[in-house]
Amino acid sequence: MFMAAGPIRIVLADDEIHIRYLVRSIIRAEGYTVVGEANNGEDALAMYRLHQPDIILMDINLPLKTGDNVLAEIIREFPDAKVVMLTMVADVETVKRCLELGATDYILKNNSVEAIRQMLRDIVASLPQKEATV
Amino acid sequence: MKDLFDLREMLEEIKNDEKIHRVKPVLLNQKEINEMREKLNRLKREGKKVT
Repeated sequence: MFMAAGPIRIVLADDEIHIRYLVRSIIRAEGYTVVGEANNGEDALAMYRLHQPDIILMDINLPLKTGDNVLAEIIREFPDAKVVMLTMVADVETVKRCLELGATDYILKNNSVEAIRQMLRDIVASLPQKEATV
Repeated sequence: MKDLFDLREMLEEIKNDEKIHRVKPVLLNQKEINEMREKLNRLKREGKKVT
């Protein structure tokens, strides 16, 4: 039987504490769970490996390892990973590279809170439903 | 007779244009990003090489 099992689990990676605070509040208001937070690229990768969340929301400009490099490593290890870039980097080359590497979505931080919330809902709605044993 | 086009001048202009292009990257808005994502997804589904 296929059904949603438990809340959506999300890892959040951003080096700006106020952005993490804002996004965390959006995630929680939607009823999803933040299972881990990272403020640099290496921790983001470690968090992903540890929790294997439904979604990772990640900035591009991260210390130690950039978000696009973390994206490439996650996709190499977990080809079905849902990696969503949440960033202010909007140059065409970076956007194209991330999408080609396998980013599920690419969201600009300058969107309204409501727009980010809606995009998050759309991503969650597109997730394959988890298989639950009943 | 003077040439209509000065090759050296044209090459210099191209070089300058390239510099400007590199300094000022093309920035996308969310709508354009979504369109690019849709296009790449469609190409992947159709099994075409993404260029």
